[in-house]
Amino acid sequence: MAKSDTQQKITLSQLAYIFIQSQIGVDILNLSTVLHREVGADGWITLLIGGVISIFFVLMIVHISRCFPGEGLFDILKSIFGRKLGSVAGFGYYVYFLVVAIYLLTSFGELINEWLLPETPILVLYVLMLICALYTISGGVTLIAKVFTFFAVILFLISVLFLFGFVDAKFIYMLPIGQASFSGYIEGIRVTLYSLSSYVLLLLFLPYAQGSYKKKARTLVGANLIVIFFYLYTVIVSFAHFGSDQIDHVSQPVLYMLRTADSVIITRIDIFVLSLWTVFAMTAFAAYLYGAERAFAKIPMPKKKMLNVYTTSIIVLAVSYWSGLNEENFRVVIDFQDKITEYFTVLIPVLLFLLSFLRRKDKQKEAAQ
Amino acid sequence: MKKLSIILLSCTLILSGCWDTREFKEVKLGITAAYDMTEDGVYTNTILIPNVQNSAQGPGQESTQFLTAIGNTPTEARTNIDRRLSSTYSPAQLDVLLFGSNLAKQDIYPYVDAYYRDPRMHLDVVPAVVKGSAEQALKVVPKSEMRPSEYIEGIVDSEVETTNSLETSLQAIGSELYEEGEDFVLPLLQVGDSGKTVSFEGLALFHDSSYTGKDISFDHTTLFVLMKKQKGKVARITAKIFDGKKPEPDNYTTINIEDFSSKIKSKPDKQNKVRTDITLDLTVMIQEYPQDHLALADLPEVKKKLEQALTDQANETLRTIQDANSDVFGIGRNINGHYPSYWKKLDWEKDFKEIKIVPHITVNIRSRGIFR
Repeated sequence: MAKSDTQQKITLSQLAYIFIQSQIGVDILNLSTVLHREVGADGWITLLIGGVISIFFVLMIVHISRCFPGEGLFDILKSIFGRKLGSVAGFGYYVYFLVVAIYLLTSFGELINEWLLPETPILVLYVLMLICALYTISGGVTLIAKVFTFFAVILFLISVLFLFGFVDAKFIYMLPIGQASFSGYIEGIRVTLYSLSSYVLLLLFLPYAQGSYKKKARTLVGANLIVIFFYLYTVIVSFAHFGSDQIDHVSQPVLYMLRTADSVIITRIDIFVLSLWTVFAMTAFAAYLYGAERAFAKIPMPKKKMLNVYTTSIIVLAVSYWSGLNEENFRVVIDFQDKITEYFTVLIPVLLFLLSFLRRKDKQKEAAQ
Repeated sequence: MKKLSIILLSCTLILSGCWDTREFKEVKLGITAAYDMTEDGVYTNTILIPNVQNSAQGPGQESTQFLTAIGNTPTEARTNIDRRLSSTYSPAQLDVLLFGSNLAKQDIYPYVDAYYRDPRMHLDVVPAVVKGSAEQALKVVPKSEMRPSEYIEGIVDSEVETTNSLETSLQAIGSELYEEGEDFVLPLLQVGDSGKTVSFEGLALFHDSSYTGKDISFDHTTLFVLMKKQKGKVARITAKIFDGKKPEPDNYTTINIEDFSSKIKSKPDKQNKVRTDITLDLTVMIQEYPQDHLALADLPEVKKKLEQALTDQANETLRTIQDANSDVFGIGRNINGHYPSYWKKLDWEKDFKEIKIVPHITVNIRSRGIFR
């Protein structure tokens, strides 16, 4: 960590907002369809199960952070795996954060291109997004916290607008339950866990947060519950709105269901929600870009701070441009992300958690004193 | 360097919108479209484009323009229409989409697919079926109408208000179009008065995505719409409650439905595979009773006769629905939801015609009007 960073502090509520905003990204738009394709009408059950599992992961992350006071993700990796292996793992996280950032940026470009601005060159959309995200992360953790907190009101606004989806809803579409196979359930839980996997980023922010670990754990679990219930809400609205066959054909159900919602002030609510959603896309993207930038800074090489940021963003921009060219390229990125997500969001955190009992530093310090 | 980058950044922010502007003056908006299938199986698309001339005071006279084109797909027909226009034709603000019965009987899905796929399209379009040629119905422009382009839309909208038609749109039928064990109805129109007017004829019953050719006739629609749990601003039903009285109108009464509640319950049944109970409670006001002298003592009898007449009407409607094999109440989906294992044993394509649907209608006469 750079010296100036250590003085930065964020409050507990800011930590919660960072968590919420980095969780809700692209998945809020398409999670319902993905879940429905895997598990059918039982999607919301797997969402709940996956949500509970993600809470355990959040608690594990808080525990890891507690064992290594003041250390960020990459220092912890080095403390646990040793210098060499830790650097390798750190580089792995660099790649992972990059891939997620690329995925978020490309999806954002695709969506805006499909729904809103078909004539605008996609590169311009990427650059606009990148500028916003770069500004957000340029000021370090405190600025990120402030920006994310500021935008939290969007969550409330979007939730209210989703109520329009209930206009044509039929709750019979939620039934029958318990029809999916066991493997379907596992797949649904996996999908849910991945879309709630921003808990990994928490290790970057936890050292800056003020307050006891008990309070941190409580705040983060609360924040995670908000995200889970928000997801549950979107899944239920879109299931009840579309029915069991149509939803598989619609990739962004929560937008699609608002296409006929007519209000006095706004004619096309779907477009309005999409514009609001770009904020979520930006915050999630910024969070992962920040992660990648931090990781790049840890790769042992003498360099200036801004260089980290620019190198990372140029890589993200270039790969996003390539993957935005056609669906096949994008598929490659998604498949690659799917492959590595498991290691970095499930296996390594569990490993860190188990090893943290052996190598914890908080107890050592007490013993030394 | 810093100045330059600031200028460049602000340029990207300010100029980025220019690619996607669509100026209103550059497009012609179609308000109503008619899709037809000719005898030889050629698909034709006719659109109505209103042009409002500016005048010094108030909205000017509206002139309408009709264009017909053929094509293999709706989009190709659209391109063919475009060739004859000075500006680009856009169906993004379409209000009504008419299907000729020939085309509707085959399959409407290929023709509405573009509406679902393109995010620029408005899904609030009201689809309707026209007996005979849809093009002909579109071209009916009564002189008395202020806005000829809104004539057909007005007909459909007012029928929703009088509880004769269900509120529908492409979005609303979207899930029924796909869902197994659930079908839908669309308003049915017909050209009348030797081509001078268009009239609402009832509701066209669909199965999957094609018109079955069977309809719920106009005098049965109100009861049907109430059973579907919708009510417009007014709901009136005229029923025959007596036989053989002279003069003829004495046999009838017209009721105004003030309040209603409707419940549909389906469950597996040994004898008929599935039994569905439709419970409809109506709170009504007697609006017309040509016999006069509607004494308080007569009410129980009138109520009984009314219930009988309405139940007969409901039975008739249900028989039509079952004949058409159009599961508009979503009974199949309901069984699938509540009894999934039982559903798997059913062959809904065949079984729907066999199931038992029983209407239970109760009438509560709240008022007889101010003249007794």
